[in-house]
Amino acid sequence: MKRIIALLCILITPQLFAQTITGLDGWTIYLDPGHSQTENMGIYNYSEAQKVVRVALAMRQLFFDHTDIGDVYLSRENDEVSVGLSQRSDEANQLGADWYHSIHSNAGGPDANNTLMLWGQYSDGREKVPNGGKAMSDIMLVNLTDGYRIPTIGSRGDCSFYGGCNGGPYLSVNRRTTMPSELSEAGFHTNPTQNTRNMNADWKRLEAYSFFWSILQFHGIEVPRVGIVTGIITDKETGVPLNGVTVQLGDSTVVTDTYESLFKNYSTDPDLLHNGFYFFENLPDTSFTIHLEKDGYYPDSVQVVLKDDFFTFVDRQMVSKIPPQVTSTIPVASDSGVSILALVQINFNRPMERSSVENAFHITPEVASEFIWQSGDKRLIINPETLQSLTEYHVVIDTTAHDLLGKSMDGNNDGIPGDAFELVFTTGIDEHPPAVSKVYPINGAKLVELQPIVNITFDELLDDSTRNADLFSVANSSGDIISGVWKYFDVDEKTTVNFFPKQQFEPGTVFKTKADMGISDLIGNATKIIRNFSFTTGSDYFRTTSIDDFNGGVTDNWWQPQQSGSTGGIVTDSTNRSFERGNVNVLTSSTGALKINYGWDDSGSHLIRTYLSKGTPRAVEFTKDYILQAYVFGDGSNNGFRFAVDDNVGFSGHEVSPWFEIDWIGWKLVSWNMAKDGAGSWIGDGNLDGTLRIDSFQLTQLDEGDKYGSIIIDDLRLAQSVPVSVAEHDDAKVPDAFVLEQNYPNPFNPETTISFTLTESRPDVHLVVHDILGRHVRTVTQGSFAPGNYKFVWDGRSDRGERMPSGVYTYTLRAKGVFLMKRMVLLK
Amino acid sequence: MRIKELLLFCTAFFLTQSITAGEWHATSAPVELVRNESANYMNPLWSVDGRYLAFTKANYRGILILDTQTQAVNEINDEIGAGFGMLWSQQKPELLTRVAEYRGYRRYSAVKVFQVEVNTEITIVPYQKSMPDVPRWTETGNVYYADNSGIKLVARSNGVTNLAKAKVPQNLFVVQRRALAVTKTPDASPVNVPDFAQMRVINLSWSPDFTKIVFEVIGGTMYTMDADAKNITNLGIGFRPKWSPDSRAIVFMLSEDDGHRFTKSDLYIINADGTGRSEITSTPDILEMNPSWGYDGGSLVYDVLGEGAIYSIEVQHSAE
Repeated sequence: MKRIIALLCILITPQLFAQTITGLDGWTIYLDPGHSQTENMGIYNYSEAQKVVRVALAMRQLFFDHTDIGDVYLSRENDEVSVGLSQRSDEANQLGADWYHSIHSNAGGPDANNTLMLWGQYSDGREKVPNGGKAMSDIMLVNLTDGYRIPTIGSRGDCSFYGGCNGGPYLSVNRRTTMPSELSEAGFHTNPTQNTRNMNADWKRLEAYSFFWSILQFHGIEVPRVGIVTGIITDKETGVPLNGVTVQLGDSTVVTDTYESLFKNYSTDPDLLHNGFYFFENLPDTSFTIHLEKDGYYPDSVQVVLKDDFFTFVDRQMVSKIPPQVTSTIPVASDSGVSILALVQINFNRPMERSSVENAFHITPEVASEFIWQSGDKRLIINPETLQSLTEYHVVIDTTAHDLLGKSMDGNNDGIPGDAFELVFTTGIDEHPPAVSKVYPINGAKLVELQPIVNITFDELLDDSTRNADLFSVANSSGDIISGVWKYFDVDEKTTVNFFPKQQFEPGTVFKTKADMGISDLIGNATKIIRNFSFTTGSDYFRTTSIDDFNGGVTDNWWQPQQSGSTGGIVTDSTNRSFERGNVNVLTSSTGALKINYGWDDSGSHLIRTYLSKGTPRAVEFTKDYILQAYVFGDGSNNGFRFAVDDNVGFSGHEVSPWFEIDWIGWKLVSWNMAKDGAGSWIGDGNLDGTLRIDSFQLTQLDEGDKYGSIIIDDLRLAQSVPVSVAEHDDAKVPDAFVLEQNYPNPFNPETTISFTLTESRPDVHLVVHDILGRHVRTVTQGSFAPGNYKFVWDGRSDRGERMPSGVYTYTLRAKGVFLMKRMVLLK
Repeated sequence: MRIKELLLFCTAFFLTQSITAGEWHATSAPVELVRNESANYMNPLWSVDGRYLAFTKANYRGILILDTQTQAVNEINDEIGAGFGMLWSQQKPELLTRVAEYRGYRRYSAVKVFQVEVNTEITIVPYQKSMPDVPRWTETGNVYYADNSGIKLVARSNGVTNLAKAKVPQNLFVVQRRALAVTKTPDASPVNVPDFAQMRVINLSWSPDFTKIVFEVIGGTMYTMDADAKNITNLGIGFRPKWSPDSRAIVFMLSEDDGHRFTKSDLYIINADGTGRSEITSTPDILEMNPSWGYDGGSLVYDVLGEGAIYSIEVQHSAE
């Protein structure tokens, strides 16, 4: 039956498309859809790998259906096989294909979306031999960009684009193939709008057409007449693409994607995904009328004249029949006991015309109010001056309020415009002073670190007048006040007080955190008792090695969450990572930190992976004998935070810490004692096998976790717990007569200079390099030295001449009674 | 590559194999033989007598020869694709390869033999449009290759080459329409090897004694097979397998990538019967690639991605 239908389709296909395009006889092309299976996951659970293989399949079909091409080879044809880079280029080379075209999409933040073509380029700027990739890229770029209707970065040599290469070309598919080649990056699969279009099968045909025509043009073959109409249908007011629009063109009808037809494969939220995309091809006539219909919208139609040489784009905006309505409020209708400090929130079903709503707004008893608009003018926040206690308030938005198209309010939500909206609520009375809801260190805590950030969190906001260090203190058992810096943070209608001590506390000593009487909330309720919380310090301090203090900024080496295929279940517009200057870790005199904003969607699986792709912090290698630490400013969201590391030995890949529930507000030291705590569960084998390096920070939504929030991370570091007594002994044995200077440059590659100074003669000096595991790497020098300054170059090789891998190394200056050590980073 | 798959495979493999077979291991530090970063030297291959080391440049363009007696490096060819799939003769220092030239944007391929000792280039198959596999030596020193019409056998005798059509005793394995195929009759269409009819095969090579072949299938698994197309052995995941001179072991690379660039690559050796899989290098930041054996079986040569350098490293089997 299928064959009969296929035969009929062939017979009725318009004559112009039945023609065979000549000029490619004997020419072969190797199409390489990048990645494999569901690799490089994009936003909304649709991956780059899934998309590009279907673009390649569509391209092959176009060539086979319409041309006399010799052959079209694909590096993979499905979502099952996993094909590595060496096999792709080896197969193309073995086949002796005339051309190699690699198909990709790009990744970045949610706002990024553009096209890019990359042709093979040597480090001296010349195009790869055999030539042709550049000329093809130049043609493809125009068609792809015009087809996608997004900005472009351009057609670029890969070596220049990536900032250099060793010999080149930079990309494996350009470097290891024996034929002209190029690589396309068509839009960003991390862009919500783009990736929702990518899900549509015809969108991939659109991309395939742009390459197909480019290849014909490259060969000087006339592109046959194009009979394609395509476009995006959106809601006129919101701009949101519309699902389920019936688009009729002549005798043909298509319906834009819906949750049931497509999006259920990628989301459990029926309202999350839209693309509004339609596509008609093989149209024989030159002009048509397009008719659009959708329930709840006014019908639309438009006359279209087809272009002969490219897609004919027809975008339409449809107008909803539903009048503006209020969908929800805070407080809810008839609510009582509402705080006199409360904001009133009114959510509309569509963007509203601001001034019409503000002019139509009344509150009784009358109180002056400030208006704040959010969510694309679909949310109005009313900030009244302080309300009266135990009073019934009436909020009215009368019928003069209207949306952007002038349609007036449907206040009672019956579908008929022309009635006012009314909200009634009653205020309560607040006689409760602020209460301490969380404190660190907790009362009675033992073995507290020697320089803790003290935290006192209250259950409501504190009045500015009581944000006063006179009302808070940390003291030892003798009553001596510990000096430090006090900071106050307001998060989620709560105030947290952080104390950053200037110095380490005495080990093994009892200290007391105090919150005095008179601490007041915003309406003047003040505490009437003193709260004391005592804790005892431990005996160890942390000897630390910085991985990334973020003082120099947050580089692009730290990916946006959306760039990682592991990230999923997020509200992408609310999720990003950024550089934070204002709220940083005072304890370390930090000047910068990494901030992660996040929002979770309604799917069942949530993960943010803020991945460290390269750079000096990535070169810091360590073992599980270390404690991995970071200072984290928590949002009290009860979501999960964890560290992830690369486990380089064997194939165990990635390991993670157990989840830390972010149940604190303010700054806190988060420590993963890897040997003691073990690994959590992700994609590794759960064993920390050997050499490790940082992979990412990760977040997830735990059971009771908030849907939105943000955290700040500062001073990512390695630590070793060292008894104070040992440290004092270590320090004591370093005489002033010897100085070991920091190596220069550091980090370095391939060599670095180590200097030391002796003011006394010594017969037994050793300058030795060890790796991070303490294994001997290289004796740089040894022997008898007279007083003076000495410089030695370490070339990054072991005693056996082996080039050492990137990582942290130590160098020690050792002589009788002398042991000086410093760290350095070899970075390749 | 899929790390989980590799882990599962390797774990299972080591559990089953490490008890029954000795291990290969490196016995020396790597020694750099030749380097040119801008040209990106790569893909080294020792001649059978051990005197010459052939290698190529980025994009497998051209062939260079390092004469280990004189330490001179001589570029004997600069053609497209010359360094991909090149093979030394088992009889004498002759190098067989397929080269390409572009006329417009159409590729034409020829088969050439380079007599390295006398610096002579012989075109044994002139440039033609379709040659969808690399040429190979026969056991007797002749050459066979494939075009769209079937397998061609080029007999060489006293400097004269002729297309031979008589049936030969040796199975002639080729990759035809991306599948493993075989015939004994030149100028005829080969038939697919049934066990691999649905798989795409690459990097097929004969053992030096012509008793076995090794190849990889798309997806990553390597296999050995006897010359009579029987006794198939799954060697597990690996790429670019090359035989040891005694035809008993295979060196290969195990690489990982991010879809754009290689992120990790190390060298391994495995016995032809699938036992004794051994990791030779374990360097996360150095990507050893394209290995082949030294003439004496006691060393490997390979290139390091991004360095344009070719290294030698000594290896030994623990049973030796």
